[in-house]
Amino acid sequence: MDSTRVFRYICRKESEMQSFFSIINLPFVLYVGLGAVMGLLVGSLPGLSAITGVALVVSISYTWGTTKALAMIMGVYVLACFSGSITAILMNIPGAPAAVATTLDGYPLAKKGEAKKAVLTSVVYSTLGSVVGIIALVYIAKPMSLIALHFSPMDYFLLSVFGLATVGSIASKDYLKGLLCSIIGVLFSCVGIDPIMGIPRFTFGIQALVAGIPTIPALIGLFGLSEVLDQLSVDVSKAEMLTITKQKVHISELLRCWKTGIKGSLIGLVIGVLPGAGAPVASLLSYDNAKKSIKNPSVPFGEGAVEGIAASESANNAVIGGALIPMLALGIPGDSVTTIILSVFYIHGLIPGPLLFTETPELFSIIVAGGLVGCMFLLLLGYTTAPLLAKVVQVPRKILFPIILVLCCVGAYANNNSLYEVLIMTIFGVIGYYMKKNDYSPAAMVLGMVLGTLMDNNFRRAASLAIGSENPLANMFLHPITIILLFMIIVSLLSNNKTVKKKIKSLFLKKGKAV
Amino acid sequence: MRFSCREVFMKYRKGTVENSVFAVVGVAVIIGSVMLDNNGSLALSPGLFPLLLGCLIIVISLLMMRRDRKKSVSQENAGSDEKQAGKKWLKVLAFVGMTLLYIPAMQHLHFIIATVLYVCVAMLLLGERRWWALVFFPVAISLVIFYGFDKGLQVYLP
Repeated sequence: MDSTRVFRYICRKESEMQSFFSIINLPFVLYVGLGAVMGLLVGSLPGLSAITGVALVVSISYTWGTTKALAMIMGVYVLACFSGSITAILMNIPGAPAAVATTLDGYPLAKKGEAKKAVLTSVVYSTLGSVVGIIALVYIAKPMSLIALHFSPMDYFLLSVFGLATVGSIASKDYLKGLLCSIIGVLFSCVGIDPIMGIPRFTFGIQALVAGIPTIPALIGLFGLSEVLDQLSVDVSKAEMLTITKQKVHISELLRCWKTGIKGSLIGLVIGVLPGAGAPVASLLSYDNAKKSIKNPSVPFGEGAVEGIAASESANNAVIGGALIPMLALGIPGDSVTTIILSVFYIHGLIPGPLLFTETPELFSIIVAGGLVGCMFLLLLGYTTAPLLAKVVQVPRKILFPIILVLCCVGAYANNNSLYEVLIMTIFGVIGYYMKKNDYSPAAMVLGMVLGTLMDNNFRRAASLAIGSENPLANMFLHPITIILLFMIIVSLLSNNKTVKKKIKSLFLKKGKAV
Repeated sequence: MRFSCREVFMKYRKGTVENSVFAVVGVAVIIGSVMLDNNGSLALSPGLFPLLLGCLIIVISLLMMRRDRKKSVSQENAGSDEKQAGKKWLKVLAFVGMTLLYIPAMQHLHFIIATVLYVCVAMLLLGERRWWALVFFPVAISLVIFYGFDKGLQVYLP
């Protein structure tokens, strides 16, 4: 019996491996490579992050096949998460919020004339983090998705509510504002023809709105145009750029922090799975953990310790795999970038969950293969192009911003070959700018727009099923999964309430004192 | 300590105005939902879900309003912040206006001509004053993007 099971398992794994390797051909590698170069550039430019890069790629790749689009997106995602560290090390300006922890030791090390060592440490441990994250994705996502097989329409609705309740805290300091953004996003998704009754909703007699608000132009506006508008109002003083001098760095020097790297990767993975926390939290937490646990670092932390770079960079990139797990298994994105990737799924007519693994397993393989090929590009590009990149990031804003603006307009136009979509992009760009300036969360709004239709359909299906039964409330809510989801939503809402937080803190403090 | 009407307005303006707008939006959504054709069945009504959303928007805006009333805003920095914010808004408005003009320009002029003008004006607004840069970069950017998308990615631009 056991040998049969083992044989079946080996056969299954072999066929999975075959389908996995059949995806990786030359065009696939080229698309990931193209995305990787884009990610490297976008991520390293201070102010622009992986979100902007992925949003721009989504606009370009909308008309492509899913394989090409996902390959390129994975390339952008992996490299953009890493490349923020280049400017963090050479300029003391983090290219992305997640690279803040890298500046603490990366810049002091570069100042000592060891910029190459700092950059290579970042490359090696970012790759390690990415690989650990993606391996975890392979083993955790599928079993997690099996839970969704037992979901009723009400459960799907509550799962989306849970996603919105948790995502409210993504990129927004103010939880209530994040929550409001997600609800308004859901409201935007209601505009257009109602999918069940076929009645136009909130179109105000405007013919163009009958088809609804297009997600891609809205997304480009919220993340691309708004970012440029936001950067316009930021005064950037010329920062000193350190150069990478010729220095021999032995591989054993780079690998001596492997324990810190693995620990950081695991921290990043766990933080990535939790919706809302994301890479900035993971890298800071991992850095803090390394600082507390490593008794004898190469040099004290804050003065150029490679352990600090290894800890923050491995955690930062492990978030990629972690954030993709709940996104692929349950449709709940772990961070802002996966929110956009989720929208790509829906745009291509794919629904995350168990069916993704049974009906379209090749898509899961594409994501995994894209991630792993992206890691190879990370190693290759990080090693070879870092000195060149240091010059590219000095491209003046007066040239860079007009290029991004034109790309935003072209991306929105390319969605449907319509100038109306450029108008939508501009409107959402202004909305996004206002949101960023006032601590509202564009990511929460996009998630609301993406999940809105699904929520509406499932809620009404659940309501119509319940009305036909004897006890509607029991029919809707008295199921084990429904109760668990309701509990999770309540916990998510309460954990973001300041009064509750204070009470829990004081409770723990009292207990601590008593002990 | 006495506050002028303007200062009091400044103090509570932002949060209150924003939250009031959200509350009004919530009310408008509820009215719009109720007015939709319900087709006899409440559960399948296209207005049911937006109705819930409208209620939630009102609840959250009221919660935010209540919370913001407790917060105090520093009066000292308000004036200088206002001036700076005003300047920034002008720059942002100029770019938004330019983008709005770029849309009909793409339709009526060719994409390349409209983009050359758009990039040139954007560079001017961003402080570029070298004449050769104002000619070279807009032309180069427009041509690269046009041929890259049109020929490379098969995205046919206007």
